[in-house]
Amino acid sequence: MKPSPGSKIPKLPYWILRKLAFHSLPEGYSGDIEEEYEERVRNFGKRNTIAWVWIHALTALPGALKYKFVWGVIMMKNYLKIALRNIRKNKGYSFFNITGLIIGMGCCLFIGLYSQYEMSFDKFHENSDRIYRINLVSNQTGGVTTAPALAPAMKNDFPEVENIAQMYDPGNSLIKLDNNISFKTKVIYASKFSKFLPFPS
Amino acid sequence: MIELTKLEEIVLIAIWNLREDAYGVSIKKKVHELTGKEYFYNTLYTIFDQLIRKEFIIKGFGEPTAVRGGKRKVFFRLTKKGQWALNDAFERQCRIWAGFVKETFFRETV
Repeated sequence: MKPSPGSKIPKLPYWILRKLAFHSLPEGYSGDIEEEYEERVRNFGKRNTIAWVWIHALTALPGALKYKFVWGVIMMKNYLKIALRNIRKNKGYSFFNITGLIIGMGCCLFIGLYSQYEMSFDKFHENSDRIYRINLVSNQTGGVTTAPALAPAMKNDFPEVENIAQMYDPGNSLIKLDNNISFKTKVIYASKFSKFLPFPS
Repeated sequence: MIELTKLEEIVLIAIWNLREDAYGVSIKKKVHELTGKEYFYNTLYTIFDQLIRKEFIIKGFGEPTAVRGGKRKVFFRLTKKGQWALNDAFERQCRIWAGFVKETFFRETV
């Protein structure tokens, strides 16, 4: 049902008006408006009549929205009811289905949280995506030390490794600096860190 | 008893008046003639919908014409139930307004 070629009604309001006709007789409705259009142009002028068509189009809007919303809610309720009935009818099947879904979603969430936590360290460094730490976790003592020779060996053997730094935590120890020997507590030894770990000051 | 809203009543009376020739434009003109108000087609068509749902009127289709952009007229006709509803409404109005006298001056009642 397109407007006839002879019809002089402006297209936009006419289109809106036909789209929003939420009652059961859109054909009669738009036909009536087309029929009265010519007469109104003769009696009240063109401008007035176009405003009249526009008012028809715009006043139909709230009703159409309400209509859509109400039917949407009703259909939604219907869908929910059917889903519930299906679940009740096939209890075993839905039990496995829903449990599987719950486990899957839970795992996904936990993996997401874990990886987000793991990725959240030391983000303030400039090249944080290119810095890695090597740990050797020993289950017996709980220590996290690797062999001191590992870092130079890696620099030597793998071309991907651009630079290395080592760190050692001896705790309390004697320190010798320019012939001054002193005993310090809480010592941490580190080498070449400032080259690629420029801490923001 | 069948309840009718004011506008439903007016539209029903307009359809009753027009008999064979009751469709959108003529009903709108008749309503304008009866009440002096210009209603929009939106309003009127929602009323038609209600009346059809309440089975007071039925719809029928005419021939498509060029004046209407090739669209069919939708005619409305009163059903038996609609006629009874109108009768009811008329009786009720008569009962309500019975004994009423139009006063020229307003007389205050205590």
